[in-house]
Amino acid sequence: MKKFLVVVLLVFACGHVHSQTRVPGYLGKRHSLSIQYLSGIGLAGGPENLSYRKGLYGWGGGTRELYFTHSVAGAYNYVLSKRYSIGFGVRQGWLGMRSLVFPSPFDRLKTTAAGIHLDMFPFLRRGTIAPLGPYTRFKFYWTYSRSFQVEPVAGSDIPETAGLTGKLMMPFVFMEFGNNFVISDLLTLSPGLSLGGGIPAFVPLDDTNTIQVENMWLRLQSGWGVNLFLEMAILL
Amino acid sequence: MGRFILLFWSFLLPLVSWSQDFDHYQPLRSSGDIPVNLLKSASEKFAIESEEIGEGKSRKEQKVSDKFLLESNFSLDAFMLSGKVLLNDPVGEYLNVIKNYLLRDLPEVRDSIKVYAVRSPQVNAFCTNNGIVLVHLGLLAKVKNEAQIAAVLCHEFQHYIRQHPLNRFVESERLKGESGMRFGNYEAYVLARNRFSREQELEADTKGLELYLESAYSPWEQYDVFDVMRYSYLPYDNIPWSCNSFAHGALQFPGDYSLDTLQEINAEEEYDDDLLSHPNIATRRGAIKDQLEAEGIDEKTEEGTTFIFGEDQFNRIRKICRFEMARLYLEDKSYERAIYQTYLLLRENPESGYLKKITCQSLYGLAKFKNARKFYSIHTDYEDVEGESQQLYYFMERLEKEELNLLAMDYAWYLKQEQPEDKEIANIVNDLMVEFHRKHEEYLPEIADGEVEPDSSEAFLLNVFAELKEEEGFVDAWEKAEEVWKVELASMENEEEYWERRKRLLKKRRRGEALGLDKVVFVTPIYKKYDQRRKGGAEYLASESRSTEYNGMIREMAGRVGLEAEVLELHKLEPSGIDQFNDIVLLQAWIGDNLWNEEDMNMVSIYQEEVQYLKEKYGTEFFVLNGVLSMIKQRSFQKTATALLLIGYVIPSPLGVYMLIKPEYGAYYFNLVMNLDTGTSEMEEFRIIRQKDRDFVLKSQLYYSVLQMKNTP
Repeated sequence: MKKFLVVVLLVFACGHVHSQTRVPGYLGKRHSLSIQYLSGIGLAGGPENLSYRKGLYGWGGGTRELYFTHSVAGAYNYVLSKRYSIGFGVRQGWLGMRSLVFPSPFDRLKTTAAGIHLDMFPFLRRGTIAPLGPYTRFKFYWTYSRSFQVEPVAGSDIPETAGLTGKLMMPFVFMEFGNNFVISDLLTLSPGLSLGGGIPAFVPLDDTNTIQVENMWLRLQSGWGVNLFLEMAILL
Repeated sequence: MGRFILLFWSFLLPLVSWSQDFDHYQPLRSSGDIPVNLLKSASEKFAIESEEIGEGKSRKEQKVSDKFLLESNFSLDAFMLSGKVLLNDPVGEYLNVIKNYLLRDLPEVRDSIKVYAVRSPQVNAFCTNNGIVLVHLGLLAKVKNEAQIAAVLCHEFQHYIRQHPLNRFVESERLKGESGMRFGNYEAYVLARNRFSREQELEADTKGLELYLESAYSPWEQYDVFDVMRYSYLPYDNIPWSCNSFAHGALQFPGDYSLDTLQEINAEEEYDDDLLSHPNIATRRGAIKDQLEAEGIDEKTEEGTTFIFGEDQFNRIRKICRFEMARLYLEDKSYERAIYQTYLLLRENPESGYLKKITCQSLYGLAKFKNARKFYSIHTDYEDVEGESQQLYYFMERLEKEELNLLAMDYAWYLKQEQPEDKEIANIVNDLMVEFHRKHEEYLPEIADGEVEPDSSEAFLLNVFAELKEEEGFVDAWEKAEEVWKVELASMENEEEYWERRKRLLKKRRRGEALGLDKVVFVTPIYKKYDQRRKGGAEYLASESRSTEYNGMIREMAGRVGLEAEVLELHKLEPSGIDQFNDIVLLQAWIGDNLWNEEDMNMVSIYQEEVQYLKEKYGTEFFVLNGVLSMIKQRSFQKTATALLLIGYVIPSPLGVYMLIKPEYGAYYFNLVMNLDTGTSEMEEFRIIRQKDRDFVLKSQLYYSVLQMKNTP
């Protein structure tokens, strides 16, 4: 993690020295602090991701679960040129999941993530200058996730502690599409769409927690797969 | 009473008597106070006129007349402030004196009409619905007497009195609405519209003659003035021209550079006018003749006069117009016309530096275009030319590239000796010398040897060079040009340097420019909005109000980077700001000239010397052309998708409906920083912004532009 931070700081410092006043930013403002709220709702499907809960609750056959997720992220951004900006940030998220078919505990995953991002602005294609206008963001976030059950199943003998209780640490990659609008030359507001996915090679599977981890990973895949977001940043 | 009126008007004459030394001619410029009405915004004028004209009209009629007033006010506003229209100049004043006399019994009409002279070589005059009569210098340069000017004015006054422009528009809109016209019968629409227009012209002729006959002018001049229109495509005189007019010393052209027979003048009067807005000349003349005869005025009558305000005054004004025409032809890149015009005028004023300079600039233009193999883009085929000037067109076509280069250089060289203080002529000489090295390298060894074989094909060229070499300073100038060329050549041939240049260019493109400027002047920034979903498209009112905001943004953004920026705005001028008005007009012309300068030709602008005073006046040599053309249009798929939706072929989704409604926004942003010293652009930005022109989008673009201007290299 330390190495990672050193790299980020070095990139930032080099960029800063290189660009100085030549980079317009927005009216000369190249730094910004942003806060982002992401939310998604959808169906996580397929029998595969239910292997754990199937075994636990005795469900049979394929079924679907409704997921809903929301998370809050904060980031620091720096405009490198007319086309690029970089930054780093943290993200705290919650993912809830409930079966639409069977009675089951309402499980939640709590996730904390931190990482770096790169924003690409289509200056050549659309004429807009970073940090304005539409952008594509690539995020690499190292994610720590912990699962816990938050409520018992009413009228069921399923024990309160029978839900997922695993932990997971692995990188996630996000691709976000947003459009930055400026308010009063001070704030930017950006609605957008976030697509995310874990890198399978990093799923820390071993004999003891395979089921738990596999399940959490698949849930995260579903929950962080497609989200809408609204981001606000203060230009510095 | 008649005598009293004449006496009264003759008192006004001193006001319109201007001295002009034609040997040291000074081109016409606007002077005095700028009319307050011109400085009012077009939207303000539109609102006033809409209220006046709309009274008592139905809603539909009001809508049509508003459309007309909107379009006409904004177009006229742009034209009036373009510099084409001269303000308080001798020609305009003279025209207004004639106007006042013609409308002496119609004081209300007289007060509501204002006549202006227009800097245009076209033989034309027109009138607007709000009483502005615009007479082109091209017409005034060709009329025979004052009475003919009066005849033209009477015709134009009738257009105003009868509100012809508005009526024509209303009729045109009505025709568009007719079912037959609506579904593609465009030809029928054009024919009907032009028929209506021709009827209006004949009415203006008839009623104009009635007004004209109330004056003391000779009646049949109303008939003769049609000759001006008939021969409008010809120079004002038809005097033999020979290439010998350029000949001197060794510069002698062979006999086959002249045509043996010339095409006769064949100005048709009776042509098909179905597709024209004006009846043919024969029809108009015929109607005037019938009317005069009906009035019992015999063709041989000696009734009336051709001059009320004096023949000298008329001749002076006409001569001014003719001098202006030479310059206007040059501005239009009609170089051969300009040379012939100066040729005609030099007979009377052989020492005119103004005319000689125009000849020099025209030869320079012709040589540059011929060297660049673009001669035919500015040249009229000699076979299409009638009269004596055909000889000149043939000569220019016949000359080889190197010969024309040499002729231009020779002319410019001797003119430079006559006008040593004129830097523009010096620049032309230098450029033509470098151009000769650049384009006619094969002759250089022989020119250097200086040995001439009498019968060789190069003898003509070499003889001229041999003579020029005898001139003091020529050899030095020639050697300097050779040095410039050698540096150019080395830079082109050196591959390393080429890649280095390319690398620098790419770096510049990536990182942006850094001009290190402290002050710039923005010359009338442009802001136009178009909605392509609507007919016509121009959003006049929105453009005007946004334009004011945009100028404010320029100042704000420049202030943010610490760049001193002066924004020249026409509508912000005070009535006493005529000097700044002239500055703007000149700068616009200079920028335009440089902008249209063919990239690979790099010509010296015809305004280069004229603009130099602005450097001191504004404290900078950097002038900026900046603007935004904002557009809204329907997305390409919207029509098809709507049709499919309506016939139930596709099921609407919220996003789909939103995409159907949402138009496509875009803007074209441009920013050019021109250097007054070099006449070249220091920085060029042209960007298509695929986003709505919100404030922050514009500010972002402007900020980047001013930042590049301010940044130190």
